[in-house]
Amino acid sequence: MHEEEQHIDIREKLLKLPKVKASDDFLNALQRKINLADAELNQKKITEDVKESIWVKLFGKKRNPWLIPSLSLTIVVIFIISIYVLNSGKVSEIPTMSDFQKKETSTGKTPDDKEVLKDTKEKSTNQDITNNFKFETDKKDFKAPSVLDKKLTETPSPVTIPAPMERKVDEISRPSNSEPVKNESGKVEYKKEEKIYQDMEKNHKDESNMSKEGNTGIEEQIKKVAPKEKNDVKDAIETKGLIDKKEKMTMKKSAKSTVDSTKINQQVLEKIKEELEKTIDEK
Amino acid sequence: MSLDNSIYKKLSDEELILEFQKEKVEAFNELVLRYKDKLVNFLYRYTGDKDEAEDLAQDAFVKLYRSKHLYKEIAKFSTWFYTIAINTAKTDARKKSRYNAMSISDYDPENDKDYEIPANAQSPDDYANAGIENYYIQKAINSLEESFKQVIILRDIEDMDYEEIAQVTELPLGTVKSRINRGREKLKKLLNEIYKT
Repeated sequence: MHEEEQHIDIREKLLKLPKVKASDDFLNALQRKINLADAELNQKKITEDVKESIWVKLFGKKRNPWLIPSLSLTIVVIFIISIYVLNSGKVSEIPTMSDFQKKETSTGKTPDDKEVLKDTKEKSTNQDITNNFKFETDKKDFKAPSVLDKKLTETPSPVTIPAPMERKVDEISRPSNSEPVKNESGKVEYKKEEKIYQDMEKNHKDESNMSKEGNTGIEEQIKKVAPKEKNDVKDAIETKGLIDKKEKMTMKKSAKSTVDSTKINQQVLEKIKEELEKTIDEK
Repeated sequence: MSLDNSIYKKLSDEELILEFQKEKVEAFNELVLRYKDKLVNFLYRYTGDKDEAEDLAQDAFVKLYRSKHLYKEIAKFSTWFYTIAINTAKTDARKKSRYNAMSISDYDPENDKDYEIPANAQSPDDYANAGIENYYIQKAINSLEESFKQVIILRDIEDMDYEEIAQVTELPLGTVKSRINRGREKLKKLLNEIYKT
């Protein structure tokens, strides 16, 4: 109150100041301002609704809060599944032991390396160094003989040694330049290739004769020894022994014949090679 | 409609704002009628310009219209409304201080004429009716600092209580009293200087 008394004159002067009133247009102007404010509010609300993006609508406030973790989980699951599917497709391209086992069960044979090579080498052609001769490695010309002659033995044997008597002389390829040429004197001369071919023919004939003789000898022995009554045990055993012997003979001969035939082929090839080298040197 | 208006005239300021919160526009109209002159007078003494005071008063009523839901019965309606008005005046003053003021006379340097824009504020002739003294008092109030001006106006012109002034200005009671005292002293000095000149 002391403070009020000190400055009471100023306070009285200020209290006596005339009161300023609002103009007559004050209420109308106020109404206009209020209407403008309402219009602006409505426009803001409309623009806010339009500007709301999809993300705000989905993940905005007071929306579904469980949407974010569920979506993330589904994305992760899809990613994992896609990776698994892609990797499973790649793995299936690589052959595995199971594939080989399947082959074995379907065909009844074990897939050897030879059979794998067969597919790649069937139609392959090997050229000689000089490229003058082409040797067909197709096995049709050089057939591996069957296991055994079925005429001699009825039971199948596990031995796979080829029998030479089955080989045909005609299957041996005759050299192209083997036609006989006449000399100036009129004699027929054979070229070296033809001579080699004729030697091979002779060898084959000798082999066949030897095998036939061996077979006939054994057959005669069988006939002599074999009793009239076939049901006799002793006779059966003896005949069986003779048959076994016969089998052994044929196996040995076939082995020899194969060895001999291979030797002959090698000799032929060597001779041909020597002649080719000579011709090249001469040139 | 007049009967409805008569009912609202009997209600207190706090009851009217509560009715207005229930979307009854007549309550708002009554509040405007009760406070428009007070608010214009307060803002005129604060700014020194009548048109500016009316604009600010209208802005304050518009803010009241938008933010009616913010009023709570903790404080008096007058306290809450004067707070809105003072904050509106302060923000307007800050905006004006940012503008780079330039004289129109400087726009045309070739001519020496001084361009003068007619002012709608009360001229000294208008003040003659109210007394030249009132003019000088208003001039002295305008030259006071912001912190002293608002408390002086609320206490010595609007005749508010110290507690209410403290709530409006959001200052401690002691600070309000000291500022009012110092404001009066400064005002006295300014008036003595004006009278001397």
